[in-house]
Amino acid sequence: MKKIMCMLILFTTVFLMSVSSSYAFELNGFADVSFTASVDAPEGSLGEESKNGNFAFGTLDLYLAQSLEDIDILVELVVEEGAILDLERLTIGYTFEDSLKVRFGRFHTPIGVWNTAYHHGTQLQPTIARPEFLNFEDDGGILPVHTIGLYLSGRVRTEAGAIEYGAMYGNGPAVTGEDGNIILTPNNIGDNNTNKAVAAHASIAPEAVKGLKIGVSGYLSNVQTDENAMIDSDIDSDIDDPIDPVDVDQTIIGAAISYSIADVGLMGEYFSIANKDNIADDSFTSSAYYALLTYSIKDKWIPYVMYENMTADDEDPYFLTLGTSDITRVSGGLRYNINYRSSIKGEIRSNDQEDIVKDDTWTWTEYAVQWALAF
Amino acid sequence: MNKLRWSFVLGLFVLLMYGNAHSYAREIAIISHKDYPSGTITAAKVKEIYLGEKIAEGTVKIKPMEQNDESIKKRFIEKVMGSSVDAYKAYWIKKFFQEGITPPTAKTSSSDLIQAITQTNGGIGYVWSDDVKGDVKVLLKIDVGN
Repeated sequence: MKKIMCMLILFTTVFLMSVSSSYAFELNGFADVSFTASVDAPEGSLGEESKNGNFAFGTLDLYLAQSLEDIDILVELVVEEGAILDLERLTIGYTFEDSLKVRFGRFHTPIGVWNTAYHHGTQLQPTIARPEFLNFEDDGGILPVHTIGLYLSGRVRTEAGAIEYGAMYGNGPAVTGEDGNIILTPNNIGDNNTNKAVAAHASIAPEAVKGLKIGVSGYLSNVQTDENAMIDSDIDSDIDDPIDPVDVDQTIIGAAISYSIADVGLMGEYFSIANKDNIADDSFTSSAYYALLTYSIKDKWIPYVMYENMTADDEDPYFLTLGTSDITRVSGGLRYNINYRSSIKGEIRSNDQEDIVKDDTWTWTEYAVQWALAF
Repeated sequence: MNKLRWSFVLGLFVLLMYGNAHSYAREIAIISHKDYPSGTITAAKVKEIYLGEKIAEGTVKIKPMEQNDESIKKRFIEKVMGSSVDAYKAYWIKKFFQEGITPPTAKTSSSDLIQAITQTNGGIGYVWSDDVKGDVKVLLKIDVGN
């Protein structure tokens, strides 16, 4: 809590100093509050934590961006679950022209659409919950959704349509231990090996079909356990044991499509996650995808339905170590836009979960309401 | 003779109505700093600039500006951007957050905007055509109706 207060004071000071300087930084943010209940969630399932019906404030997201003498800076600070403070993004960059921007720092890994378009700020997000497989690393996520490194991007307008591209080079993720959980870490302040992660994406909005956008992305890295990847050996013991080491060469290939015609919007993404186990000399391939359909009624009421699926190879040491579950979820909801800054969403989610470690299967339903705001 | 007289009156009436309609039609002028690398611009490019999709003209950074005056701002957003004011504002919340691209800088009046553009390399903005003055370049005039 003290750390959060210090960071907020620092952030506020920077903001106030900027007000009195010749540069006017504008502090912006997002906030949301929600109620979630999973009335029939079995013990051990992902829905268990909301079986009592939880009111919760979600994420407080503060960000500012400015161009100072042509140097671009972006800072985003996030307070999650009232206690966890993340320096979510910090980039310094330069725009040479439309077709070439350079950014250094911590950014959202350019894989797929959702990860960069709806990373935080639930007011922007069409649904209450993000697809399970796109969860953040510290929330049981399986994809490296943050990277620290160098990012080149640009936009080129051609006769065929507007083409956007991005390419990054940065620290690869590691499997680590944090608060008794085994999670992915983006290696914020140092890499645990010399193998860097590389990724690229490209998309086109073809002139011939208005409202359509198609994109592909690819990500390569080597993921290993770091020295913190320890697990409780005994509930009564202070001594932790290291987990079985993981060393995989990971290749993620993604494809995305979005299409809007009149009031109807379609969006979908597919990921193939191939892990080559360097210890057992074996290879595994898993997949994850979602499809989202929305319908806008006078830009006020937006009913939606989303189908998502995550199927992990149950022998893949990467997923076994992270304790990943196979998930199939159907979400249906209604969004009401109070104005351009605020919305209320109601959602029902039907979940099927299979724990690939314990082989348990669970089915449950969740109900959620969320009020989100941009300020 | 009676028919001829009525035709004359009707013709005069139509001409008056036509002239009246045109006298109230207003134009928005897209203006820029005098050293802006291009002498003209298309409406499509104006839209790209005000959506933050086009941020440089060659190597010159474009600095788009807009007006706080709701009458011209609303007309510009609806007629040039093809959007509602709320949708435009919502778009910029998203764009700013996702890409860190700052929205057009708001100026309180046409004269403030013109003054800022004359002092800003890469500056671009919109004013009513009648308000254009000073050392700026007119890149495009757009008829935005009555």
